[in-house]
Amino acid sequence: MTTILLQGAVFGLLVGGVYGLGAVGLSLVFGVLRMLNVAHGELIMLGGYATFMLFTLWGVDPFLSLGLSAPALFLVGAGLYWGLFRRLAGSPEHEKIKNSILIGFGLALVLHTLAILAWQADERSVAVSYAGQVLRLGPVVVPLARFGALVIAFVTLGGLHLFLNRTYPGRAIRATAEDGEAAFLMGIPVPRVYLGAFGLGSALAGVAGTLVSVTEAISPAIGLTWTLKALIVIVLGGMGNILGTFVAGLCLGVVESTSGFLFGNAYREVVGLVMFLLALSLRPQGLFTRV
Amino acid sequence: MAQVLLAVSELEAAYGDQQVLWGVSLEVRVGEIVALIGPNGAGKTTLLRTVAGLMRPLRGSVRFDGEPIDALPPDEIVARGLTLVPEGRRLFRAMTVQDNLELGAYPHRARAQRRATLDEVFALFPVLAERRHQSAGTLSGGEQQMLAIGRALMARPRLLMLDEPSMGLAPVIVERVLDAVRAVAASGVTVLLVEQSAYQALERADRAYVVREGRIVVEGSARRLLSQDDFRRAYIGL
Repeated sequence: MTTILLQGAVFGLLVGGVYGLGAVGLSLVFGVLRMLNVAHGELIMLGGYATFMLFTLWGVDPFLSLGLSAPALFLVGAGLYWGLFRRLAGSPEHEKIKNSILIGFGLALVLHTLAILAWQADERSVAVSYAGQVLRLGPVVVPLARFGALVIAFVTLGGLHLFLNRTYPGRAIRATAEDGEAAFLMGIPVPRVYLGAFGLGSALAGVAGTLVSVTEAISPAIGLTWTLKALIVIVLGGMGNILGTFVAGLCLGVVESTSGFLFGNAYREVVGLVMFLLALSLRPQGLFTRV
Repeated sequence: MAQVLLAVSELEAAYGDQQVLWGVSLEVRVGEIVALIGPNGAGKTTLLRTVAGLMRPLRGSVRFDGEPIDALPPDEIVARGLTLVPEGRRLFRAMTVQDNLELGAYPHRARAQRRATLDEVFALFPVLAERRHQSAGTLSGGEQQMLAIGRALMARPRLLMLDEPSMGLAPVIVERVLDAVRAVAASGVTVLLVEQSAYQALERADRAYVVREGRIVVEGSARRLLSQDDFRRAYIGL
C-alpha cells in the first residue's frame, strides 16, 4: 500500500511539473497585462503539434524540438497579441479581464477547429525510442521520458526566474506588472513589454505542449483541459506568483495522482476541482502568497 | 536670460467629456525652480501628466528643448531628459531600493552611466544607500519620497517634474524633502514643482504660476509674490 502511494506521489510529481509549467505562462500574462487568455490551453496544444510534426516529418527528438517550438509559439503569441488583445491594453482592469476572456474563448474555438482541419481529431503521441525506459529507485519506478519532462519544466522555470529577477528586460516586466504607469514614467516601453510578455507566456505554453506530447497524448481537443488545469494551479498558487504557481502545479499533480490510487481514477479530477473550490473560498489570494 | 527648456503653449486637456485645462501656457528656463501652485482639482496633476505623455492634449503644444513632444509616448519623453515623479510616489514596493533605482536608469543612455549616477544619488540621499537592500515598501514616507526622486534622477533628466512630493508627510519631513529638491536643483537639474504646501514651495522657487480651474491666473517671481499681502491672503492664507 505504501509503495503504491509512494509510486502515486512520484508519478504525480512528474505530471505536476508539467501542470506548473502549463500554468506559469498564463499566470505571467495575467500578472503583467491583467488579461486572462483562456486560449492558453490551445497554445499548449499547438506546442504539442509542433513537436509532433518535427518528430514525424524529420525525426527531431522532442526535447531538442523545444529549440523550435518555443520560439515558434513566441511568435504566434506575439502575433495574437498584436492582432486581437492589444486593443484592450488601454481599458480599465475589469473590462480588460472580461473582454480578454471573451476574445480567448473565440480564439480557442478557432484554434481547435483549425487543428482538426490540419491534423484530424485523432489522438497522437510522440513515440520516442526511450519511451518505455524507466529508472528504478528502490520499489519506485520513474519513466525516463516523464522524468526528462520534469527536469525540463524545472530548468525552464529556473531560467524564467533568473530572467525576471536578474536582467533589465525581466525586471522591466516585473515593474510593469506591479505598476504599468509608473514603469512607463521610468522610461520602460510598456507597449513593447506587453507584447514581449504575451509572447513569453505563449512560448512557455509551447514548452509545456512539447512536454505534454512526450508524456501524454495530444489531440485538438486537449486545450480546454489544460486551460482548466492552469486556472486551478494559478488559483492555488496565487495570481502572478511564478514560484507559487510551480509548487501548486506539483501539489495538484501529487493530489490528483494519489487520490486516483485511493478512490479510483474517476475521482482524480474531482479532487483537483474540490481543491480549487476550497482555495477560492478559504484563501482566494492563493496558498503561497504572503499577504 | 537662460534658454527655455520647457514651453507649454495654449494647452487644453480633458478626461472624457470633462475638460480640465483651458489654454495653459508656461515656460521653464534652464536652471530654474518653478513652482506650480493652486487648489485641489485645479488641473496641476493633469498638466504634468500631459507634459509627461500619459495623456494627449486636445489642443496646444508642449516643446522640450525646442522640439515638440506632445505626440510622444512617456518612455521617449524620459529618454529625451524629462522625468516625472508621479503623485503618490508609485514605487515598485515589492522590489528593493536598489532595484527601484536601477529601473529608473532604464533608458539606454542612462543605463550606460548607472553606476556613476547611483553614486551621485546615494551622495544626495545617504539614507537610500543604507537601505539599498530593503524592499521599498518598508521605507518611511519621507524615505519613500527620497527614493521616488532618486529613481527619477537615475534617468539623468535635464528637467525633473515633481507632483506633490510633500503629500502625506509630517511638516518636518516636508521641509526636508523640499530641501532635497533644492539640492537636486543645485546639482544642475531644472525643476518644475507642483505643491499644496504653497508657502514652503515658494520659499525655494525662483518663479511661480498659480493655476485655478484649469487656467493660469497669476505668475511671477516667487519672492515678489510672497511679498504681496493680497497674494499671500488669497493663496497661502498667511
